[in-house]
Amino acid sequence: MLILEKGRIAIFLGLRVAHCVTVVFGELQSSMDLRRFGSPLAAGMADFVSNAGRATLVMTVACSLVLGACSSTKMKESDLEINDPYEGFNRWSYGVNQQLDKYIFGPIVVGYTAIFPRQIRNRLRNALNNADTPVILANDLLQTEWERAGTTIARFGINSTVGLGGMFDVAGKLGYEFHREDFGQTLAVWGVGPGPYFFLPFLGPTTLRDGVGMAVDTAFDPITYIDWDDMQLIWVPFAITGADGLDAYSRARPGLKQIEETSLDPYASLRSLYQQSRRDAILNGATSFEDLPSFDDESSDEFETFDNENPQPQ
Amino acid sequence: MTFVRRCAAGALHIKNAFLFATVAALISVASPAHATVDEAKAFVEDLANQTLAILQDENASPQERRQKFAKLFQEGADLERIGRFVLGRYANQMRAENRLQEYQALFREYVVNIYAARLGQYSGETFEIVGAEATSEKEAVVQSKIRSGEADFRVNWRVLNSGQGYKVVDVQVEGIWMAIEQREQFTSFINNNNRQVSALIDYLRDEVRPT
Repeated sequence: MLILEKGRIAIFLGLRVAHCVTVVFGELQSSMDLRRFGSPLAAGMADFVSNAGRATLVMTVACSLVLGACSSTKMKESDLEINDPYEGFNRWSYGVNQQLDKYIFGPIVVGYTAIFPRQIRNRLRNALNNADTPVILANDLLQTEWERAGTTIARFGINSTVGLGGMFDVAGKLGYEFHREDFGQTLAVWGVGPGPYFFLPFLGPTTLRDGVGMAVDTAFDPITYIDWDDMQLIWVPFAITGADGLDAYSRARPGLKQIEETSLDPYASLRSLYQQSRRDAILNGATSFEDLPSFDDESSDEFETFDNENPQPQ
Repeated sequence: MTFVRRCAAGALHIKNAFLFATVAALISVASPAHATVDEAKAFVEDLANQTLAILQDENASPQERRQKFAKLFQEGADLERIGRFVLGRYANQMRAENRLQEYQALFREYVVNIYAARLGQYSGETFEIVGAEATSEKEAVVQSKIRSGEADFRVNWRVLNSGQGYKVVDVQVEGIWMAIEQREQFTSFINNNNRQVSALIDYLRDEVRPT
């Protein structure tokens, strides 16, 4: 059913595609060993960066200060207001991504799904989700979601051992269901609004807040701090990130294709799906029918209502 | 409530009548919210069961099935209200240009086509109502769960009673309100076509034209 598929796509879009691919950039930066430059300053910086706790804290504080300041002036959390001041640029990137899909990523995904059977791909997805535990746990805790943090820890313990390194979601079958959490959501819970919407080449849909969130999530991820280069394993983080992005995109792509083929305005459709699915993720699926376009709200001219027999001329 | 009122009227003893009247008054004050939620639930449940009956009817030809579904869809959803809603800020322009009726007829056909085209994809989904919440005197959101294969989907039905019983105005699947998403598309399309509502009408006419 169309509506079900749209829902599905939205989840992948909002939570995976952009995030996964962004991690690539995180890895690129972190894998450039600053000490190689030999300057004392660079060495000092490297030591500082490798101090995960401190770096994360600084980034967290800095980002929330910046966003907090913005949120008090302009940003509001509502799924009914589309804040898209850079629509021209965004639509251009949307076109770029379609070309990237056509000539590069589409064929790769087709090959990937043809070579590996669904069962194998699901094992990979489970293992990648398991490897994401530190990021999810950090955000559970920052949102003071103790119960969900407990679930995250239990899942990691069970799946890393009985589930053979996370490949089998044994915990899910025992009632500890998987959930995702990211720093964009944490900022939202802290009261930061989404800010302007961006559709970026390669990365896809995001907002200012969620983009900052992605950077912080990279800082939460232990993979960022492991000295792969020292172990002659520099390819490992790239392999993890590449597999993550590829698998996520392979899952989102059929839905994206369908939107492209059936939508009157695929760009606007994706924008709404991203915005609404993020809002849903922030609420952790809880119901909130408060900001719905209310038909008692006659004063607002920002959105039309369902009960609008005699609207005021604008 | 009618039962209570009838009892009150029939009561011979004046004290009893007074008591009944008081109870009736209390019930009529307290009940609208409950009545709304329960009626809304019953409405959605009935709509879902009728849809399932159409989908599971193996004797019906695809065409018959489609016709029955289209009829049910138009009875169950407030298409006129939805049609106006998805125009967003352009509803006024459509009315000012006297094209609202033309648009509504096209929109109705467009939406029914979209959903009817998906009928064949039914694969034994099960439906269960999990809750309901009154959001105003006329409105409620009924929460349901649709199980399709291994996966559960959260589906919420926004229903509005404008005097002639409940009708669906929006459906939320896994957090996504369909009419809100549709409105984004329609208003964005008009925005990018010199803000002319006629562009949307032309598009819809092309879409519903039999091929």
